[in-house]
Amino acid sequence: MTSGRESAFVLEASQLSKSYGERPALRELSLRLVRGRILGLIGPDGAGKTTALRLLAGLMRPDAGQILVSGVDVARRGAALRGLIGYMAQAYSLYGDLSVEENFRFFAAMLGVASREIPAMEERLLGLAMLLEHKKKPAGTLSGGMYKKLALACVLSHKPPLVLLDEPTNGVDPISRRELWAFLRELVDDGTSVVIATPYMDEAERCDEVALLVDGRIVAHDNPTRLMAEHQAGGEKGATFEDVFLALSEASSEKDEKS
Amino acid sequence: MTESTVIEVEHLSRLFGKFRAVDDISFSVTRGEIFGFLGANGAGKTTTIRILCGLLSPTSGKGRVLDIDIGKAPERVKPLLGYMSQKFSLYPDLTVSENLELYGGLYGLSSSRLAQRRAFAVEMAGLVGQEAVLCATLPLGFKQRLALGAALLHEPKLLFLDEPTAGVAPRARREFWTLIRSLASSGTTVFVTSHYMDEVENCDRIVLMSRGRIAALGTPTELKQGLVGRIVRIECGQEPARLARRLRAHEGVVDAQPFGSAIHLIVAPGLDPINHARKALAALEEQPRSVEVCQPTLEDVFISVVSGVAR
Ligand SMILES: Nc1ncnc2c1ncn2[C@@H]1O[C@H](COP(=O)(O)OP(=O)(O)OP(=O)(O)O)[C@@H](O)[C@H]1O
Ligand SMILES: Nc1ncnc2c1ncn2[C@@H]1O[C@H](COP(=O)(O)OP(=O)(O)OP(=O)(O)O)[C@@H](O)[C@H]1O
Ligand SMILES: [Mg+2]
Ligand SMILES: [Mg+2]
Repeated sequence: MTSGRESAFVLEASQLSKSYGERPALRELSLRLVRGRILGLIGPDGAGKTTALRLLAGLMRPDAGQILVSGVDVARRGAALRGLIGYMAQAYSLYGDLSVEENFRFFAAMLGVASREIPAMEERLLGLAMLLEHKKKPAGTLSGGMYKKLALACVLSHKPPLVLLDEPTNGVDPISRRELWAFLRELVDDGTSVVIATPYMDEAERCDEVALLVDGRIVAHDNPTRLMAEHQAGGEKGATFEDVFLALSEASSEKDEKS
Repeated sequence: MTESTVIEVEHLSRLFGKFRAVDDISFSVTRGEIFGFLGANGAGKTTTIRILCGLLSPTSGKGRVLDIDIGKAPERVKPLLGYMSQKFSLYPDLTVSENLELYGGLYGLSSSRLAQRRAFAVEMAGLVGQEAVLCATLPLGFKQRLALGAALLHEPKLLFLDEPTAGVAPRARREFWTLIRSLASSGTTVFVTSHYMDEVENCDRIVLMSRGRIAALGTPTELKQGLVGRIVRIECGQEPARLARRLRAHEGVVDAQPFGSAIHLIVAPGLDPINHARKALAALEEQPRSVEVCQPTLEDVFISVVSGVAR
């Protein structure tokens, strides 16, 4: 049993590349994340966010590069990862004929949550998702956003060191999005680390650091306040985070076209 | 129902078992309007749309869509409108062209008209030259524009868009709304749901649904009116998330949320916002860099109206 060396980083990915057929989806991506932080992965549709998260979760092998999660090599330790990583896919599925609470209990047990801890987690997470009063409904009859929130509650039911979330709030209403972010903050205060892909710029602004992915490459990686400040120093007063995002992604795809 | 009324709903309800998914709602929509239908998850938006499209029968109440009684003749309304559902509407394993042909066939377009409309839809989606590409490999923003094109093949006068931009990145979202606005200005009525409070500023009027009921209805400006002078921006520097959480527990604070390095705080009506914010901060022994009143956004409206009704 090697537990891996102790490292300040929960996640260390170096030089990851991945192509689908001829098409490169990720090019030499390197990322490091220290404990207790939220990293936002943003970028235009098709930039490679899902590909990156699937590699980090160990669901897909990179063509090149290495990933360590809590010092464990993801390529070699498939089964041990279950306790280390919580992953929510962009398209996920629950049991439509099982009720909300049955789904939650099933996934929590499968993810290794001790059975005596399940009721408290259930109260907390379904409460946060505003699903307590819908506990008995079959998941198949939930609205789009309620279904998404139930999936998220299931994934967060255990507290792994690293949580990977692929656009978890698409279709989730503004109130629940806020509740979710408050909950993520609590998790992170307890030492969990989060990588979250999101199309919402207000969520990107709530992250401790943001990596902007364009055409499979990281073109900027910094704290959101600093990204904003740098951009505003370039002239535009009153720029929003969305403006910064658009300017940076456009500048880098132009570069791509020239090279 | 006047000539320009496209949708008229009176006391409409829909139950699933004993659960009231839609609970006694009434409103009307006029020609060429962009009508935003917003609300918390599970508030009844999709259920309402399905009723208005003739896909689900109401439990009680009346609805007229394009002058057709949806309770009596739902099958007559279906071919007259365009509908983009919340779940995916394109076939991922078909190409751009094949998807459009499939929809054109469903709408019963003649082959010459289909060819013409297909060209229109491909152009509108920005996919000229990509007709043979599999839909599975298109970026989401393009998929959604193509789905919009498919919903417009038969030139409907009324369009239902159920969260058409969910998950779409900022640039592509702006482009999608440019399309919506140009459709509306050429006379198409657009009934749209969204959870992005920035883009719904584009709507002419908005309904805010909560638990099956209409909690508010008006233009964006009218809806924001009620919050003017009640929102305070606090520059606090350190740990806005934690401070916001503590402020929320304070009496007279309707909501407090971190925004970058600052906090937006909504005070209860009738209170002096600055004074109240300062009092709350003093009680927590916090000394902010600045406290000032700021303009409300539709997100502020959503939070205060919907949580006000729910709690
Ligand atoms: N299974 C696959 N086969 C072929 N190409 C793929 C596959 N999955 C993704 N791609 C392509 O790889 C690129 C990156 O896709 P990916 O899904 O990682 O992007 P994303 O940033 O998550 O996009 P979105 O914002 O739409 O979720 C895209 O060009 C996409 O078309
Ligand atoms: N077939 C069904 N059987 C039982 N309940 C249903 C059914 N369809 C919808 N509901 C319930 O009706 C309520 C309203 O659902 P609806 O899909 O209309 O919500 P929505 O406002 O569109 O939400 P979202 O923003 O999440 O899409 C939900 O509580 C849902 O569980
Ligand atoms: Mg993705
Ligand atoms: Mg819905």
